Amino acid sequence: MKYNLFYFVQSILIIVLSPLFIGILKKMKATLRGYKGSSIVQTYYDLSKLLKKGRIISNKSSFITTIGPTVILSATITTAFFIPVFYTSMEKTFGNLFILMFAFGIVKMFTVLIGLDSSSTFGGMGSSRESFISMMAEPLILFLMIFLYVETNDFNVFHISFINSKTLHYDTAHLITMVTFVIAILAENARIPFDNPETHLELTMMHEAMILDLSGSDLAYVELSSYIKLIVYLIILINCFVPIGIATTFTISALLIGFITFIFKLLFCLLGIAIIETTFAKSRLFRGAELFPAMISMGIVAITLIYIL
Amino acid sequence: MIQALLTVILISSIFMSGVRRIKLITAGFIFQSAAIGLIVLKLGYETGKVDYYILGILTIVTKVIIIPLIINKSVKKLKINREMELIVNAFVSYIITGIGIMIAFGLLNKSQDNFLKTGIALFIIGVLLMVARKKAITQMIGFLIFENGIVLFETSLSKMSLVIEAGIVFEGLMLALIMGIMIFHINKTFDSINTDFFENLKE
Amino acid sequence: MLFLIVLFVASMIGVVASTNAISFLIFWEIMSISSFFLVIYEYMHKENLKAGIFYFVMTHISGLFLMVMFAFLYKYTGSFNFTEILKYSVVFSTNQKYIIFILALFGFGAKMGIVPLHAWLPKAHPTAPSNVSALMSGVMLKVALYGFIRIVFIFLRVTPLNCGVIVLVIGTITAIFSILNALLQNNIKKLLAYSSAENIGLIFAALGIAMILINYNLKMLASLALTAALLHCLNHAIFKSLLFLNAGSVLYATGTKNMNELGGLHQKMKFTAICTFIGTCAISAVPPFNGFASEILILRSFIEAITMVSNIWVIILIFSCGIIVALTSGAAFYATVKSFGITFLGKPRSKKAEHVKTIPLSMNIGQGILAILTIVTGVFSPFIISKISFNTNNLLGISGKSPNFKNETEIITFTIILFCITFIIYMFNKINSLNKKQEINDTWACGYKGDKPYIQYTGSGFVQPAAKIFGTIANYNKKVNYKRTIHISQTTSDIVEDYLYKSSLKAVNFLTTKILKINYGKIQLHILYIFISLIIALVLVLKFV
Repeated sequence: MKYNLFYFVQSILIIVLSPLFIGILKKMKATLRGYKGSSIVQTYYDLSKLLKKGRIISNKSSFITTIGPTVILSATITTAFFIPVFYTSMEKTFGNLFILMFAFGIVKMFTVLIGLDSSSTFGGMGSSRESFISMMAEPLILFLMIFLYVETNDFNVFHISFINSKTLHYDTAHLITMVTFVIAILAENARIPFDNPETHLELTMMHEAMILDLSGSDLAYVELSSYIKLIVYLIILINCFVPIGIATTFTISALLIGFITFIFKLLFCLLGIAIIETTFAKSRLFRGAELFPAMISMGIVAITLIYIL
Repeated sequence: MIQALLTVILISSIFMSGVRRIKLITAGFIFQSAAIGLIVLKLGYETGKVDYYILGILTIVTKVIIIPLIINKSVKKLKINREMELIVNAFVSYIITGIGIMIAFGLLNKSQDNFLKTGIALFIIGVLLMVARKKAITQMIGFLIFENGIVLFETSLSKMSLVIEAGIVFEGLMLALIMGIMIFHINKTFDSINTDFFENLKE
Repeated sequence: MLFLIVLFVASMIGVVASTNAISFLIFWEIMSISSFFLVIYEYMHKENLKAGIFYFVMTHISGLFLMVMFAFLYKYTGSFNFTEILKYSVVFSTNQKYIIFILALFGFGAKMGIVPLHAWLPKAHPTAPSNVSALMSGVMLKVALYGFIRIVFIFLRVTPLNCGVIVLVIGTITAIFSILNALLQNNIKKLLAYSSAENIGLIFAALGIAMILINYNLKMLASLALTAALLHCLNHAIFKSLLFLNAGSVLYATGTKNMNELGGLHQKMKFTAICTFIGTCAISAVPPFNGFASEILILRSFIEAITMVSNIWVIILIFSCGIIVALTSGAAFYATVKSFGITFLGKPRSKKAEHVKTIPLSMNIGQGILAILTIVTGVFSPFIISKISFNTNNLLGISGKSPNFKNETEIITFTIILFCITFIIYMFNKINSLNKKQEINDTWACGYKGDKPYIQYTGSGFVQPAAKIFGTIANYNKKVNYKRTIHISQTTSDIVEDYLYKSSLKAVNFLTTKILKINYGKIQLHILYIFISLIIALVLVLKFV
């Protein structure tokens, strides 16, 4: 099982640059709303400020709050090593789609338990809503795996993006599945219309409620892991569904083209998320949860289109 | 191209089966009828028969322009704009729509004709909107979706005469006009168009 | 108690090791009777007796169906020995296969706990002592599964397509029904019993896919599905036993099984909390524990079956069942997080949770061994998978290469990378917090001052979104009474038991009241009845034999 050194380099690049991308997202939102907004590198300053402070933990919390944030950050960083960024090839390497999606289950489990561990009302509320939304989003993830397997007959993310970049015609079933996966990304990363990531009010808390009691370096780890998680999900969307221009050979020109198209595609996705966050409002919990059976129906339409039409 | 338009029809019908606001249902209906009109026009372009062109233009004129105008006028007069209670809640409606599309496509797997299958899928959506909603306007739109399904169903038949098609389109237009007037009268009698109050006519 | 447990375990080993139908049935009966005595071990409470008798009746119904099935096998092949039956069963006709399959489904299904024969599971498991529950849920259900696999896969070999479809549909319905019922329970052991039924449903669905694939002669994929089912058997036995032992420790320490009265147990029961956490991670398919390996194999067999089968209706069916299975795995996460989080974390919600007895060492040893076994079987799962798939390949008659398991060997690499990165971040954390203060204080909770235990979420409140949407499956009723105080009660009940069992019991009662009129109590009438039935039996025997 070979693991090219270049894969390691691209993963380190993603881990280091993801706060920068989130800073770009916040700047886009500010520009759309008409004010100047903070600078792009503000997220780095925030994280370093949090790392400098001491931490306070509740006297009712257990070993979960002690080891939780460390495990969350390490699980997210491990998933960043399992995806292709702008160079992929058909060698036997690791990067199983199942391990990726279930590794985010580690993050989910620890975050939900940290919420319950703080023994306050907000923690329980956030954990309950988060478990409910992610329970409804599981069939969408399975549907994504079915679709990618039907198209490429493989489970490895590297191989999927390689095969799709060679032979892909963008028919309608493909586009429907892309829309379904976008809704799954919004659900898992606590974006509008399921949760408002900017406010800390009771009505709009899901992710922020669970980590309300953390402070100092704990909060820095959990924030960094949520940034990396969003970027990793977006990279899976880009590389599996729209892999135009990804580098498949190890030459300088192909790598340069791959890098530029990757940055362009990622900025386009971030602009889409900024537009969604500015134009739509957060919907009520049960109205937002009605979106999931609609997506399952659309998934059924996509499978029908592949097999029957 | 035709496959993309069929996808627009299916997605708009899934969308319409779960939303509550009448404006959104009307928007979905506009997309659906426009897609059907474009399909018929493209078929006319491919085969060169004049019947298809006339049918396409008729469909677009009535179902995309005139009928939404009637609906919007009725909604403005009545001052309602959404369904509050659904008989079948939105969760189950979406699932029924999806399963209905799957079964319709599975039953007719032998025939190669795509329009037949989409037409029958539209029947199911129309019946769902007619049966499972309380406001009369949504039931009317459900019947119009049923009409759309019949139009698609007929384009798949080999022999098609212009007279029958024109008859169907005009019937749809007349129905919309009559329903517009009726809804106004219903509102004057009962002070709402919630069909629950029709039970008061029993005694 | 020790004698009964030894008898129970010995009879289970006897069932699995028997090569003869007669010894199979004898050991099955000993297993049923000894487990009944173990279930009503605490016979002082009235409800325990009722639950025990319910379980006794169900297990004898299963024994009855098994006896009829072995009688049919004797009639078709002429012997009781398993190897002889194997030789003669190649020439079974389709009707014979249907009869044997239906009898096996009812017989073994009543012991396994598939819908609609599952009603004894949530009654018997909470009333039994916890070690007995662990044995029953972990091992006895799998013995019934072994019997089903032996009849269907070894004797019948290739079953008609309808049989596979029935097994798949029943498995999926069991899974979704049980987990939605498990979400709304407040009793820890009832939640775990329903969760056992859900996992059995998952295994059953995987077996159904294997049967469908054998019918289409896709033997490689069928071997994959069968390996998935068997691996999940093994993993479920380990982590469910661990969870039941933990529930037993909680019951011993506090004296209550109601989750809404517990909370904050992690301060005094640290070891139990860690073991329960490992069990919860295993059942929710979190890598690198062992639930993850079997979960991805089951999902993988669903996905690969969709692309290989040719009939459109079978594809639609497997796709729908796959979506429902994904929903159940999400709901299993929800239910077990509730069971661990509300019980162990937070503040104590009542006086019972504050006075905690210490757990004796023997309980801790049992939990510790099972927790270590969970981690080991999870990380080294590729070896176990290759061993199991070797045997299933021999079973189905494939020689040569095994299905492609290279994806599953990545779990070892994943675990190693995870531990390395955790270690690096831990060191960084230690260096970073050398000269910073770390304070332990009250919960901040956004500035709230009151630190009462009732501001936390309760167990029923935690699952309220799911109760609102899926409440009708579990007959969820919320009643509010306004007298001097406002009284809210939430009840759930099992709808299969309500509609199916009670109505059939009513029908049997009605019939018996009608038949009772024949019985006048006079002895001459009874002698006349015996004489008439003797004559009828003689006539039948002389005429038909």
